[in-house]
Amino acid sequence: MNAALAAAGRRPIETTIFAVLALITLLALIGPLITPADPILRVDPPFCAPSLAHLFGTDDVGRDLLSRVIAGVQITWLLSLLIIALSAIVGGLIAALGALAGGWVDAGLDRLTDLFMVIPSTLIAMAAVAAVGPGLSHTVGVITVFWWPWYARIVRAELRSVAARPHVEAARVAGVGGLRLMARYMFPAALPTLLVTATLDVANVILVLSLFSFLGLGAPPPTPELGAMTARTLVDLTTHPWIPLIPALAIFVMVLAANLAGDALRERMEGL
Amino acid sequence: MIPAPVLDIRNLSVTLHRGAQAQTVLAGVDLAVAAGEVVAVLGQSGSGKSTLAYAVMGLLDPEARPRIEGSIKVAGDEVIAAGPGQLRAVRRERLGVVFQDPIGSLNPALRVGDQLGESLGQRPAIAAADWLDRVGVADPVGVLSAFPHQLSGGQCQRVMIAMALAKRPALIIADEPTTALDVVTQAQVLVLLRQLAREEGVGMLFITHDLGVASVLADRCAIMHRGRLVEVGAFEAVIAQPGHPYTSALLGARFGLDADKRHPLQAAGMETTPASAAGSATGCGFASQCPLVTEACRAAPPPSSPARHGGLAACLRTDEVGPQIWRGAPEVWAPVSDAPPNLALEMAGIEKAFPGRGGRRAPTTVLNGINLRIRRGESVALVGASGSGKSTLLRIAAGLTAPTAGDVVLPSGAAQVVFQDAAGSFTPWLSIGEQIGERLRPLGLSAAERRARIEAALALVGLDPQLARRRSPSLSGGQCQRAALARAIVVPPPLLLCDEAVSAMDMGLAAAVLNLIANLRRKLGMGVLFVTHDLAAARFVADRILVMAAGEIVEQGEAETLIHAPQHPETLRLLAAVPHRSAPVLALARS
Repeated sequence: MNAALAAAGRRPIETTIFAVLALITLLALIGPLITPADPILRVDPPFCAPSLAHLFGTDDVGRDLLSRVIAGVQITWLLSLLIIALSAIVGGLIAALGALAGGWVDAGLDRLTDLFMVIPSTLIAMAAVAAVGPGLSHTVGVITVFWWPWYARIVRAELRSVAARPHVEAARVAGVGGLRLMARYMFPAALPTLLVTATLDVANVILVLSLFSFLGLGAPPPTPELGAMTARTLVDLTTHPWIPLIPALAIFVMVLAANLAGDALRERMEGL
Repeated sequence: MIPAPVLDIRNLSVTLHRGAQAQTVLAGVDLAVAAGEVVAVLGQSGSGKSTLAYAVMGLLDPEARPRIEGSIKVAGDEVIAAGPGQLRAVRRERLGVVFQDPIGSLNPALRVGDQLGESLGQRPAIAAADWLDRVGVADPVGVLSAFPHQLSGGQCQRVMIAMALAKRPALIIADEPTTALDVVTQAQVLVLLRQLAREEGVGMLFITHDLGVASVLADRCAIMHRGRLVEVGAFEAVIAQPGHPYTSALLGARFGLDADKRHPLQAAGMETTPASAAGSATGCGFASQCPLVTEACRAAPPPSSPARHGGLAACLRTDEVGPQIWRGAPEVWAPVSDAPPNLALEMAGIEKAFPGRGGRRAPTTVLNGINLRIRRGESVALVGASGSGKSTLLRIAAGLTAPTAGDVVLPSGAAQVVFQDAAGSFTPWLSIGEQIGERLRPLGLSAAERRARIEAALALVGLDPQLARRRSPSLSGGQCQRAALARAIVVPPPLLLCDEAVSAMDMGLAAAVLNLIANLRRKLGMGVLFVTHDLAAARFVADRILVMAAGEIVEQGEAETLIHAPQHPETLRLLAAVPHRSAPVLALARS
């Protein structure tokens, strides 16, 4: 424990970033327990400026903005983690399947990956969400469909390079094959890259999620989603600037923290 | 009057830091190089010889927070505590450097002519072509406008040598300059360096772990052991009558074309794990292994004193040192197993061609009609220069590469492989024990039985069974290669394939691993296919030698016969490439 603290002291910036990430995740997990007011219901007159009663003020309907931002962080943060996890799992599985089967299966899966990558994904995803109707689960599903190919591509490249390394050849000569070779000897080589990519990607997913909500394709109102909150109250920017700016600032902090954490992680891994 | 030395190192100590740990890598080193003299610094991995070179260049890694004490004078200029500007001036005007990796040492984005121009300063371009001509580059004008990636490793190293010499330095530092080169090219480059050092009158500090390489060009040698210089003297005199027990051990571990095959190589006294702890022992760093050790040896590091060969040796009993101190009863080979000499490998009409690039060029043929039979208990060496196809043939025998045509039959079962990159042949995130145990999985043993077999295999290759729990990054190269052998023999295979298994090792490790392979083969009745570029190693391990060139076996025969009465020009070429003292200037063939 002391050693960990000492290590943290040596890298103050990294430590701060990871502390912020931990704080955001904690906030997302216990959010509903600490919101001062109900994020959906009107509690006071609209357009109250930030005060001790309402730290972030109230919005155009009269709901407590702090409560709505906390609930929004919960939705946005957990959803983006979910999308990343699903994409990494699907992409990783497809890459591993291709590497295991080889031959035409690998070639076919690679072409399929190509196909999904060349489609203007955000555009099609919007159309798809518009078609099936807005809603958080739809958004998650559709974004994941267009998100996994990046992970498949990255994992496939890692697996191909590790397959030619002597330690994998040595394992093959020793009679290790199939699933065991993949799971024990090859796939762990792709994990560091996968982890770094995923961390850097959190920011992208948050932005896309917010974009969807901003365009009205995310959760339907009155769900407190940060992108939607910014979009819907943009008209108040000049008169009551805190109402659209505070949710936008929350997005900004999450994206920045995730990006910096990804960079720090990448430097660490490259240093190994 | 004696001219001032071009390099004068006095009482040099270097301490490097790794995290919070400080390690004394060099302690009390005194060494001088005179103009026109080649001094070989010989030592095993971790002896501090590269640190010495980097200290002279002023290029010690600042991350390691080096603490340097003593004095290093290059052509009279102090390097230690010199400011960055002074250091640059010394490096620019007085020092030429030839590194180990020639291709990596050249800037890939600049043409050779431009890089050479940096060394020549204002002199006209014609000088650059002249220099390339002098270092034996064919078509110097063409090479000037080439990029490094368009040249071979040997050509790049010649360019590096031209760059090092063109600025007419006082001192050249060559850090293992031929390790990355093909054997034949290595011999040519060594002879070239020897000749140019004489002609130009520059001093050379030549760092190597290979006694044979040093013998080609060294006037004097300096032997390093655990960060201390244990012996300095005229090369031939030291070889003839070493004044330090460690030097004597080094000489015993050397295997040339005349090594005695009837006994294992003398590997006693060699460092088997890189331990560069100069400061850790209070006394002589060699005391724990030395047969002549006395109480005084453990009390304080012995001072350098005159040795019988006329140089200096850091040994209190230097007058008693001789080969006999290591020669108790000679070791004997393990008894030969009584397994029937069944056929282990039969390859018939093997062809291998790689498709041409872009699908348009003609395919490259690497192997052309190879036939090979190996019986159990028989050891066959496959010798050839790089690109001869020898490693491809081994990969085909191992089942790692499919032949284009021909049959591979392993009648007694699958072969096992020992790779050149020992550390790389273990998966870094899995324990050594788990990886050795993979071969036991099909046998359906209980966990306890498996662990017992793994530990027995580790013990058989001379490793501590406790290493089973460790991972490869925490093991030394020598330990990894032994563990790789343990993996190969945990279920004794009918055939062991060794791909340049000792080529990257220093003398002591190579001798120990060669002994081990030879003993295991006898004990377990394995056939061995030993792929190497080194005829001396081939002769030592093999009953039969096959010489390959351009994808064909050009000569084969019983080991001694082939070495002593070579028939094919390729065999002669490889024999001439085994480094030795009287390497002919004739080898200065154009690349």
